[in-house]
Amino acid sequence: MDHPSVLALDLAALGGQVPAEVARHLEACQACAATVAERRAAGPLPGWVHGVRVAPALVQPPSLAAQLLARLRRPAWRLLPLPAAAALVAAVVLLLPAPQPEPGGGAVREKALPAVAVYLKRGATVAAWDGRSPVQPGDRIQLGIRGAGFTHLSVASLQAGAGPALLYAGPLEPRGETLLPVSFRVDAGGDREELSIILAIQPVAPDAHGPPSGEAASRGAWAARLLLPKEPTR
Amino acid sequence: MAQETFVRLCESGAVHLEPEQRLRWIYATSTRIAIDLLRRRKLGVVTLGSAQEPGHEPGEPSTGAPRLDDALAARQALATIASDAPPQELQVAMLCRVDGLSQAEAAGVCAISERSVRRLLTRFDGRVARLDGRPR
Repeated sequence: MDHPSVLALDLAALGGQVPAEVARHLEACQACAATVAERRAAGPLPGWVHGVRVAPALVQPPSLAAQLLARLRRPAWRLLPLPAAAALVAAVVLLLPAPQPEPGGGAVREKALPAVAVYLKRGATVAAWDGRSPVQPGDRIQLGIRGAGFTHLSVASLQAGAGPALLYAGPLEPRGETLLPVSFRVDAGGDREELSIILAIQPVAPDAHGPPSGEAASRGAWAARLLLPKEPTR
Repeated sequence: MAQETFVRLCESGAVHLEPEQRLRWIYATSTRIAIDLLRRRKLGVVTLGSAQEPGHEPGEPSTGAPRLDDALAARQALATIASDAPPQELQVAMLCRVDGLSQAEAAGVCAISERSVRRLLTRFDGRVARLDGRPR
């Protein structure tokens, strides 16, 4: 059975004129009739609403409003069908404001700065890491790197008392975001995960992860260190 | 989103419209706000049920959830559509494909002709097909 759209049901709830097929459907379909009844029970707009005047100074500029709204989880979003909900949250969190890279050789690079997006998979959910929340053993981490003109990437895990452990090294798309073809599983050891990320215009030597990131930048590369606190194992 | 829609309802004076006009105004405005959020939001969660392939990392027990990279690829595709498609095309697509409005209803909400709705949906479908690598 094809049900009327939500707009048609809302119009019916308002008591407005609805097409004959919608009226017939409402007589036959208990679910849609119940929806209309529920919306009618919500009542009309309260009278005071008509007296509301929004002072210009109190109106948030669109960008501020969007930022504010982005921090709020609206129940309405969770009511959307899955593709819409997925679409509405499809975004990346860009981390680590980049030091200004000075690649040598006069290479022409994209004007945007490099950035790292961290995605966490926990159970059946993938989330962009918020930059603060601890990761848990068993989480999978995948990185998305905005190359901004750099063509090579190297990622290593830094562990206290040991040398850097190379996790990935390979080419990088100079434009747009490159998702690493590998993901990393968080183990139960230690209280944090520290990742060293180096972008360069030529292949990165594994020992480049040792020195502080400032030295990489001085060599015409872009380097960043990601510190992900780890939730203690219970 | 509800708060933002309400503020705009009051600010614009649309609260004084006839109920049916006001309802269409709310549909149009809330959809535009949703698109704005889609483009600006910096942090979010993707439920893996929206991805397609139920693959798993080697050695990982099957949970019925798709692979991480599949989910992220779907996420990137959605982000691409969100950033590339013109707002009105996205608005019509969301109204018709997500909210389930008919083309005539979407035309009424967007104050455009049904022919324009069909044209925008055709463009949107072509955009999605190109992302999928399918011929139009």
